[in-house]
Amino acid sequence: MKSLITGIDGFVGSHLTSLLLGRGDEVGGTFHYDPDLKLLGDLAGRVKTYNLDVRDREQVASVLEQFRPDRIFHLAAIAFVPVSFENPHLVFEVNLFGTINLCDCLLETGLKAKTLFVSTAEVYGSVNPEDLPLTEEDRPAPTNPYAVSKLAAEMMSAQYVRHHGMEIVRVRPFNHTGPGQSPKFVCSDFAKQIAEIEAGAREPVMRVGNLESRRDLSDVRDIVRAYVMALDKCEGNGEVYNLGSERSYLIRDVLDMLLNMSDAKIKVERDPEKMRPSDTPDIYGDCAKFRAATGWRPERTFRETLADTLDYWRRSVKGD
Amino acid sequence: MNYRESYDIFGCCGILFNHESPRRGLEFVTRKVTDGAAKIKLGLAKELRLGNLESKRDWGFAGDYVKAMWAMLQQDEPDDYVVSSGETHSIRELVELAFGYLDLDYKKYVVQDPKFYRPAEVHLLLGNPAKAKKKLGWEPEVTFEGLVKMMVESDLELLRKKHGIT
Repeated sequence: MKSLITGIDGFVGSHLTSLLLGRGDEVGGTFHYDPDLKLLGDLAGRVKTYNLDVRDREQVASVLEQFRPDRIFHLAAIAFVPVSFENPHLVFEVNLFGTINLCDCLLETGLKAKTLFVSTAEVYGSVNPEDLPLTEEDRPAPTNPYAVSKLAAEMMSAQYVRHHGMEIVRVRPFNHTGPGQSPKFVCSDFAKQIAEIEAGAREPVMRVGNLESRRDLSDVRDIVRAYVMALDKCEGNGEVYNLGSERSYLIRDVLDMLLNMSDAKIKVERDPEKMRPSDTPDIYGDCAKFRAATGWRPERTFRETLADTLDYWRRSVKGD
Repeated sequence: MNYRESYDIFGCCGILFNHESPRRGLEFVTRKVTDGAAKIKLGLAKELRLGNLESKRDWGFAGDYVKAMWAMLQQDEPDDYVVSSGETHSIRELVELAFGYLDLDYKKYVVQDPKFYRPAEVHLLLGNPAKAKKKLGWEPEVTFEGLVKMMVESDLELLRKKHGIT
């Protein structure tokens, strides 16, 4: 099986690579932000990689022609919400037009690669507490340009199923974290600060944003396993599936769990810079549809996820 | 909506169902039909080839719809509105009206051509303009029949001028 991962240099891409190589797949990947493929570490030598800007249609076609994948995991995207407020145009070019390029090039090259389109639970946007847990039937009402771009791309990919018979599975993962995640995201941010404090690289004060929101948090390794199962077991008929832990964690509790894993004495301080303007108070999903289709269930405990994330930063701070 | 919520921009979404007028492009079915019927009436064409006659649409007069757009911007708060006639008519009804207005029997001229069938056709479109009517006080003035008549008359006139037919 030849599996192509767009955005192999990202946090999720690196975990997916490890899983696919373990299954014996021949893995190809496209990178854009990190030509050094740091997150892949030793795995980098075992994959074919291509420098690709998904906004460039000819480059996309060329990668497909060269690697000729049986399967594609389309992860390449700008996923950090604040960027989408600063530069919505860029976020649409990458997230929406990058997806259109990929689909168009698949048609053009005649490759019959079954494709996973990774959307986001952010598409649900502002939710009423009585609608929780969210199912795929709940109406998307995105509240930031990132979520709009993903919803548009999600809908466009369904058009390629409808009009061209392409095989596409669409997933809406809720938040996921784990080793290697950018410290722009909350769990990784907390873990990194603790690791730096432990190493004496920072004063013993944690800077935090809103601790009162609740998020559906999963382990990235459970999520990438779900991605593979999605292509293994779901029909490529454009159905969309929620993916998550089916419960929400109070961010304050996440912080406490991490602090309890450390012997350092740490003070916690509010940082207004880290507050988001339109923070959703609580969100979690219902993944019954995906569980029924694939038999997937999360295997890691959340404590394990946080411990591994903290260990990742401890090693990273030491320069390992 | 994102710009409205995040930056307090006075932005409204007008969700407008099909709106037509004599200025419609010839590639749209309403104008294709009124132009086609007028051509046949004047002896400039012998038939009109169309796709699925059973598809239904919610058609209104563009002139009425721009009034709704203007009214949205006169409100104290920005909001989103569906603008539609609230009626649905089939392509067949459109054809019957347009040809009937010219005293022609459409069955003699209209040919259904699979070439014009759409792969994933939307079979029925029908909007509910209740919110626009209630909050904007908007009321369409041109009926479906009036719209078809207006477009047929306009096409007849245009073709007569173009071909020097009196």
